[in-house]
Amino acid sequence: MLSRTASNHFGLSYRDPGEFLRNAAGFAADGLRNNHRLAYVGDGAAAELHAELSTMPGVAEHLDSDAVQVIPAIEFYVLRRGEVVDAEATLDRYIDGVQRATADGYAGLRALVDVTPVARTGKQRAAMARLEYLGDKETTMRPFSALCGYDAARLGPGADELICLHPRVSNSRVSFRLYTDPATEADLVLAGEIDAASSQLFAHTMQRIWEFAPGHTVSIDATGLEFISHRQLLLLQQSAWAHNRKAVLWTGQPILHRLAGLLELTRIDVREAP
Amino acid sequence: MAVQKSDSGCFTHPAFFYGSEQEYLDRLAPFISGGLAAGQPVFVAVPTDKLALLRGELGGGLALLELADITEAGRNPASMLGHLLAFADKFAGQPVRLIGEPVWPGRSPDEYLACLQHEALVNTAFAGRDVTAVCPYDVRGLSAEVLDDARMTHPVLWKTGGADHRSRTYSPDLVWDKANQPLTTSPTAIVCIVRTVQDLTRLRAFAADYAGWLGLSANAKADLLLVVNELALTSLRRGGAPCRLGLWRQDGRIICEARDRAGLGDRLAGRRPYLQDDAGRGLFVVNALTDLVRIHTTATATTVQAHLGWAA
Repeated sequence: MLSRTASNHFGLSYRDPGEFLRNAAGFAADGLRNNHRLAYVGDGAAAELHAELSTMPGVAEHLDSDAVQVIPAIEFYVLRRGEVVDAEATLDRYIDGVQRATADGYAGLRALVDVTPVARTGKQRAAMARLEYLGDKETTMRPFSALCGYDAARLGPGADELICLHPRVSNSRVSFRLYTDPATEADLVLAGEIDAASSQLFAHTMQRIWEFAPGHTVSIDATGLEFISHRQLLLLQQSAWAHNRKAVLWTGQPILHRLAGLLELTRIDVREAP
Repeated sequence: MAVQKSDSGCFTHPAFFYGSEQEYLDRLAPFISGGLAAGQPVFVAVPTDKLALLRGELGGGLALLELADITEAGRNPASMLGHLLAFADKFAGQPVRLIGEPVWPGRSPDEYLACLQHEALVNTAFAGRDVTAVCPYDVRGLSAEVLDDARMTHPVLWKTGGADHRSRTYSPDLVWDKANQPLTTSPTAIVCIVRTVQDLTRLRAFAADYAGWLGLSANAKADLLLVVNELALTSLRRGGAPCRLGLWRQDGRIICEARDRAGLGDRLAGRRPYLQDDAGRGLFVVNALTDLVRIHTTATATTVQAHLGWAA
C-alpha cells in the first residue's frame, strides 16, 4: 500500500498490470473521495483503461461522470519525432488539466499514470527524467498529485532510473530519491541511502540531473539522506567536476563533514543544515 | 657500525631511545630547527607532554613546521601512516623530516601490536623517498621487549651519548609476523552474514538495531553504520565473501569484526592517503573513524577488528 504523506508525487514499481492496479486503487479512490478529478493515463485503448478502472472500489461508481478521465498514453504525451516525451509541452498539459479541474469545481487533479510506454529506451528515459524533474518543480505548489507506474518486468533497471526521481517510492528496491521540492530553498533534495549497491544508479542519475539543475553551484538538501558512503561522495565530486559544477550539501549529520574532510573534497561543500 | 646511508634509497628511519626530557630536547630540537633552517618541511606527531616541551623550545610562527598531538591524530596507529605520507606528499620532491612517536608508555597490548605493524610498514611506505622519519622511544617507561622490537623495525638507532648506528637485528617482516596474531571473537558477539553488496542495507539495519539497544548517540550510530558498511564492503571487494560481521562490547568500546575468506594482500591497504589507495579506501575510512584497528591475515583469510569509542 502507498503511504499517505505530505508529498504528492509517487513512483511505483510493478511487475504485472494487476499489481499496478492493485497498488493504485487506494490512491485513486482517495483522490475522488477528496473531490479531486482523476486522470488515468495508461498503456492501451480508452476502452481497456476504462475497464481496468471499473474493477477499482471507490472508482467504478465515478466512471460515468467527468470526475474520471481516461487517456491512452499515446494520446496524452506530447512526443517529439513520435517517440520521446516533450517534457515542457507535457507539463503544460498537466498544468492545464489542474486548471480545468479546479475551474470545473474540483479540489484538484490526481493523475494515475503508467509511464512504461514512454520509458523504454535510454532517450525516452532521459526525456522522462526531465519531465519528472520539472513536474516536481512546477506542480508541487498546485493541487496536483501523481502516481507514476513503471513496469520493472519490461523496463528492467531502466525503471529504477526514473523511480528514484520521485519524492516517494513504493514497491521498489530503489534506495535513494533525488527530486526537487519548491518548499525548500535547495535546488534538489537527496534522500534515502546510497551505497555500493546503488552506486551505478546514483552516478547515472547525477549525470542527468546536472543538465537540469540551474547555476554553477547546485544546492542539495541532504537532511533526509540517511546513509552515503565515502565512495559515493567521491563519485558525486567526480560527477560535479566532469560537468564543471559545484554542489553544496546541506546536512545535519556530522559524519558527512568528517568524510568531506577526509576526502578533501573540492567540488562538494558540506554545510550544517539550518 | 656508523651510519652512512639508509637501507631504502635515501629514506632514513631511526629509532631514538631517550631517557629524559633533556635528552629529548637535545636531540630533537636541533633536528627540527636544522631541518627548517635548511628549508626542509618538518612534521612532528608526539604525545601531548612532549609536544608542549618542543613547543616551548621552538617557539611559534614556523611556516614549514606542522605539529600534531599523536594521542589524537595517531590514537589509532593504523591511521598514522596516512598523516605522515600526506605531509611528505605536500612537499614531494624535496627532503622532509618527520618525527612520530606512536609508542608511548601506557599503550594497551592491543594498541601496541597495531603500533608494531605501523612501524614495520613505515620502511616500505617511504622506501626510496628523501625522508627522515625519527621515532622516539621513552626508555624510562617502555619494556625491554618493546625496545627490542624497535631495533627490529628501525634500520638505524639514535642513542644519546653514543654514535648513531645500524641495528643488527633490523627485520621488519619478522615484526609484522609477530604482530599478525589470530584475533578472538567474543562469545557475546551478534552476527550478520554479508554475501553481496545487496546485503549492505540489511547489515546497516542490523547495526542500527544494535546501536539502538546500546542507546548510542546519533553521531556514534552514524559512525558505526559507516564502519560496518566499509568493513563488509572491503571484504567483498577482496573476494572474501561471505563476510561474517560481528559486534560486541568490550572495555567501554564497541568492537566491529569482519571475518572473511581472502588474504589482505596489500599490507599498506588503508594506510596510504585516501586518493592514492583505491583498494584500501574503505579501510582508510575505518582507520580514520575508529580508535584502533587490529588485523590478522593469512593467504586465505582475514579478520579485521575495529574498536569504536562507545558514546551513548
